[in-house]
Amino acid sequence: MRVLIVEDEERLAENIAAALREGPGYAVDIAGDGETGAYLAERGEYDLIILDLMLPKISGPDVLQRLRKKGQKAPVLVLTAITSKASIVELLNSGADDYVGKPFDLGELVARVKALIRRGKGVSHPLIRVGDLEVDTVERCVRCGGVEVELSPTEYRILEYLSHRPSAIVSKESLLEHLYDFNWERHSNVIEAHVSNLRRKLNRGGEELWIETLRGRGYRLTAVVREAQP
Amino acid sequence: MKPYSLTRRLVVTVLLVELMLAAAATGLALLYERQQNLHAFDLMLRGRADSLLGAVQDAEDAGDNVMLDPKALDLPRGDLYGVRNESGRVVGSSSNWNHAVEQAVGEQGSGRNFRLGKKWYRGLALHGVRQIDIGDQKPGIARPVVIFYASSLKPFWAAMSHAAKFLVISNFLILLFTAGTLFILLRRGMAPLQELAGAAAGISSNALQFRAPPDAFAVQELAVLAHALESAMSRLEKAFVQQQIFVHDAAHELKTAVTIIKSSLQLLTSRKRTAAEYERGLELCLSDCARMEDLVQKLLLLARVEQPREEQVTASETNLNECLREVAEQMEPLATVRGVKLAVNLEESATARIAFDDCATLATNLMVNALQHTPAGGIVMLRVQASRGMTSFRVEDSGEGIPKEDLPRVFDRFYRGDPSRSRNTGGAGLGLAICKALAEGAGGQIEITSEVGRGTIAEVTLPASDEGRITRPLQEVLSDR
Repeated sequence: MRVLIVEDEERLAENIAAALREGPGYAVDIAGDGETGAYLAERGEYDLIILDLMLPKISGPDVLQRLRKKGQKAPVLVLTAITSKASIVELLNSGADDYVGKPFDLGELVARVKALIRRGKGVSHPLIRVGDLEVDTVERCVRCGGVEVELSPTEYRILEYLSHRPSAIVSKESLLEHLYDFNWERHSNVIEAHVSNLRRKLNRGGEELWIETLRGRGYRLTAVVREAQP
Repeated sequence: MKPYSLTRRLVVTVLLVELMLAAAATGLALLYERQQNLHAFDLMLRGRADSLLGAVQDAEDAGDNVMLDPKALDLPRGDLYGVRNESGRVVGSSSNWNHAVEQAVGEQGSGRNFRLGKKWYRGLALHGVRQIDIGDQKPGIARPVVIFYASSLKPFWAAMSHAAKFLVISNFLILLFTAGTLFILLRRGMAPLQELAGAAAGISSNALQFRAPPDAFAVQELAVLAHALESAMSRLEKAFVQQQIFVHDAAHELKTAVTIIKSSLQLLTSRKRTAAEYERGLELCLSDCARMEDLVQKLLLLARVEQPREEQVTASETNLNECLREVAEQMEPLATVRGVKLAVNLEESATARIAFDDCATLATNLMVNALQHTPAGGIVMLRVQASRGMTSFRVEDSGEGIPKEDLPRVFDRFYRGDPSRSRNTGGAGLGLAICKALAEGAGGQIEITSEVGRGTIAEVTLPASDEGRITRPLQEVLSDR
């Protein structure tokens, strides 16, 4: 998952980014003003945008309006110091999905971010099941037929992303976009290596194909129901 | 003091005056009435005496005397009369005739009041001549007689009391009518005042807007009050709104500062970390705290310098050169770090009416601003100029300048010309607001001119002597913003 933080308070943005990177292991980009924020949001494929209201150059509500007008569907979580009813109603009506009032709890912010991303992808429960596969987005662990599978952080992130849209084809570029922020050098062969490792770990002892590779198109997570071991 | 009703007071005053006038008018009218009545009474007495004279007849006796034959007369009973001939003999009288009447009335022809027993009478004496023995050719014998006639004053008094009653009652009715009319008129006249009071009563700290009712402007006396109230309230509202904005902004800044510290600490405790990570995290928290401290200090300073100061006991003569030299020395390390040249040009003997610390704060803020907005290799100049009554110093930089559209707002509290930059340098956007308040508090002014790409000039003008110093009231300072 990849998150954009539009916040002019550098230290705050850094803290939120660190929490999101360390916690759910998301890729995070930071924009220091409204203009950069709107630019990045329009171009990057973000799974969530965290937007401060008081921003230089373009104000938060204007950024929000601009994004929604351009058809940007990513959920937007607003950070605001003004928690009056009227301003919140106005915010939600103009396309925000949720808000947290300053000063907020970092843990709560992270939980809301996770929930919003899940909801944005049409998943309601933090425990995602695809056939026998269980992806626990709270504990960040994966079980296959009740057996826990040890995954590296990147492998987990790939699987988590795929599990949010099962049976949909996810392109390699899309995976790259959603898993890495600007600070990373991206190489598609890195993804290939991670996917093949992931496949090997999931397929331990079995013949099932969890992650299909559609040549030239991308990857697809297919639901497999493992038959009971004799 | 107990409050009193203006309406009641006015009504009572008018009624008292009217009562006095009515009493005087009644008195005069009664006096006149009395005069008239007495005159009429006298005429009546004379008439009756005349008819009595007509009843004096020849006695047909040897002495050619006269006698009174009142049989044919219809004189009211109770009247007193007596006729005396020239020899002093009473030739005829009423049955109740009394000699005392004669004495009381006297010989004069005009009426005179007297008392007989318990009754008051008025009487007069009529000197008449009766001709008797009038033949065809010869003149008769003239017999002069004196007729005393008196009548009871009862009818006179009755008429007088009647007149008095009439006057008193009619005056009373007029008074009543006046009171009622006056009350209604005053009530109606006071209505705009009541309305104004009602409108003023609607003012509260939540609703400071005040519009005087149009009726209040229709009344000349009230229009002044209404105007004064309206303008006072609008000034108050402006100041109040400014204050609210300030509090709102300050709360926002503080909330953000708290959020940063809180998130830093929560991030640090979100999982087990190495000692080095903790150390680094705590260092960051400390620097966050320092920023918040700086913000609070600046807010307090702003609150202090924006206090209306009627008498500035603390304001003293400050040697501008000394103060600015000290500031420049403190700025030297920052200039070195940023690679900016600092040029100081100070004149001798320049003094200003400002507290030393205030002047130092002013200069420091301006210098820091200039240094932060000047790229390496640039130059910041500090110079002092003294002219008649005023001393000024300017801070010039060769920085990026301020866009024209931002210039009017640079003195606004929490305004940051270039947020990303000033955030990085820890500015809260209060520096210039503090400078403005300090300069204006000392009776001076501050001006900023700038050209994008060429640099910015901040000029502070301060009064050099006592005469030039004007302490502006807070209200005015606030309304400027």
